[in-house]
Amino acid sequence: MAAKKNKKTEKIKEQIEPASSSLRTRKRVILSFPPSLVQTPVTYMLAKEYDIVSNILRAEIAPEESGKLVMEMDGLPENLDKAIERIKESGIEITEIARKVTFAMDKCIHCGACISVCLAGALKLDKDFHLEFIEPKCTVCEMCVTSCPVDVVNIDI
Amino acid sequence: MQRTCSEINEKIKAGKASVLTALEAKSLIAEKGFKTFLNTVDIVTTASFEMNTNSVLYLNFGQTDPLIYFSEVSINNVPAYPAGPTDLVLPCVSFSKDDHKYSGANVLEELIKGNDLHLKAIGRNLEVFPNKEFETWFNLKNLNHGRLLLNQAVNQNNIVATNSGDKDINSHMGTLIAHLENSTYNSSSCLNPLVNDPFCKTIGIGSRIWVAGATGYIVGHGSNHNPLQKRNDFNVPVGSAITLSAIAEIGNMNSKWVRGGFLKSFGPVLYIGVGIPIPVLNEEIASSIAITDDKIHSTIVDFSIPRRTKPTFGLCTYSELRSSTVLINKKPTLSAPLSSMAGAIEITQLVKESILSKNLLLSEPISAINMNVEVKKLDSRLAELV
Ligand code: SF4
Ligand code: SF4
Repeated sequence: MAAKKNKKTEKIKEQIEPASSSLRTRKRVILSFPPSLVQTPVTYMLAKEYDIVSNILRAEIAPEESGKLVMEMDGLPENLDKAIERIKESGIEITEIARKVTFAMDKCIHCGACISVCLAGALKLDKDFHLEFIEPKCTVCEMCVTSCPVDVVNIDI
Repeated sequence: MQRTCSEINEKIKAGKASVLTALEAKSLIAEKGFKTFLNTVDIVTTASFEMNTNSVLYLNFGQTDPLIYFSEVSINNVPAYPAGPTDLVLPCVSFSKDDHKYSGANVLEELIKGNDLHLKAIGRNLEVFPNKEFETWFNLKNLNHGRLLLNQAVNQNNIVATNSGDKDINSHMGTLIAHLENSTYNSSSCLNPLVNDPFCKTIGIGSRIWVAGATGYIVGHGSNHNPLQKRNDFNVPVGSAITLSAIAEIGNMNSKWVRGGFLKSFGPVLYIGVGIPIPVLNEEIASSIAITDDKIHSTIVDFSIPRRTKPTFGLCTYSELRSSTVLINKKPTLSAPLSSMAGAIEITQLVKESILSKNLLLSEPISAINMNVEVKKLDSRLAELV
C-alpha cells in the first residue's frame, strides 16, 4: 500500500517538474506561534504533505507560552509557497527571511561551471561569452555557490 | 603562397606583419573567402584559459645563515618538497594542512600578485648545513627565481562529461547531475592552438609562447599525450589527444591569468591562460585554421561508472555544446563549459598586441613533437618481471 502511494507521488512530481531533486530550493522563515498553537506539529505536516525537509536553526518554545522558530525549509518551489500559505491560514505568523545569491563579478573568470548546475536557467553566457545572471529566474537553490571554482558566488541573507 | 618564420619575423620587426586572432581569422574566411585569408594574413593567435592539475612550481631561495638543507617545508602551510638545499618543488595540487581549499595554485597566484607568504622549514641538520629550523616571510622579489612547469599547458580536445546514474557526481568535470540533467565540456574548441594546428606542423619543442602574460617555451609533449586518438573527418581528435608541456618564469606573469581554484569533492585546480601564435606558412596550415565549431567533435562520456573505460553516448559538435542544449540518449541536456571562452578570446587579443608591438617574435621549433606514442595503462602486477 505504502509503495503504491509512493509511486503515485513520484508520478505527480514528475508531472510538475521532471528534475525534482535538483530543482528543490530552500527558504528561511521565522514562525511566531500564539500560545494556543505552540504544540502544532509543523515540521511533520511539512514533511508529510509537502515533501519539505525542515532544518530548525533556532527555537524558543515553552509549553503554554508563545514561541518562535527560525527554520530552513527545503522543497520544490511551489510546495514551499503552498506550505507557507497553509501555515498562515492556521494562525501561525510566518515571515520569510529573504535570501539571494550574488556574484562578485570582478573575480569571475567566466568559465561557466556554475551554469552547468543551474537547472532553473538563471545563468548563461552572453554573446561575448561573459556570465549573465538572470535574477528573476533564480530559485536560490544554491547549487552554483559550491560549483564555482574561484569562489565568486555568495549567499546574502 | 609560402612563408617562413624568419620572413614573418622580419615583417614583425618592420611593423608590417598582418596578425589576426583566431576569431577574426575565421570571420575573415567566412566573409572574404579562404584565398584572401591565405594571401594576406601572416599570423593567427590561438589560446585557452583552462583548468589544469598537472603543474608544478620550482622555487629557488637564497641561503640562510647558518646554511640550511631543506627537509620539511611549507609555504602558507601548503606542503612543498625539497629539490636541493634551498630548492623547492610545489605542485599546484598540494593543499594546506588546515584549509583543503587553499593550494599550491593559490600560493602561485599570491606570489605573482606580489603578496607576502610564510615559509616554514625544518633543516636536515648536516655538518655543513646545520640550520635546524627556519621561518620567514617572503615574496616574489626575495626569490632567486620561480619557474612554472605546466605539464599539460595545452590539451587538443577533451571529452564531454555527463551522468546517467541516480546520484549526483562531483568530478574533475564539475558537478554532474543524475539522470543526464547536465553535461560539461572543457575546451576553447575553435580557439584552441592544437585544433588550429592539429598535427603540430608549426608548434614544436622550443616554440616561444605566451603564458599568463610572460614568455614561455614548449618543452615537449605533456601528461596523458595521446596523439593516436581517433580523429574526425576534419583531422580533429574526438577526445583528449595531443598535450603540450611548457615552462615559463613566473616573474613576468599577470595574476589575472593565474587563478587558484577548487572543485567541490575533487580538489585544487589552476586556471592558467596560454596563448600560441600560429604562422600561416602555407595552404595546408591555412586550411586547418579555417576550422569552425561545427567541425569539431567531442565524445560524450557517462561518468556514472567510475572505471578507466566508461560507456559513451557518441559524438557531438562544439556548436551544439555552445547552444547550451545537447541531445544525449535522445534527451535534451543542459551543456555548459568549464573552460573560459571569454578569457581565451581576450588572450588571443593580447598575444596579437604583443606581436604587433614587437614583444613576441615567432620561433621555429628546434624539434618536432613526438606523434607516435601510446598512452599507457597502469595495472597491478604481483611480481617483478625477470
Ligand atoms: S543562479 Fe544559483 S541559486 Fe539561482 S537557481 Fe541558478 S544555481 Fe540556483
Ligand atoms: S563558476 Fe564562478 S568563475 Fe565560473 S562563470 Fe560561474 S561565477 Fe564565474
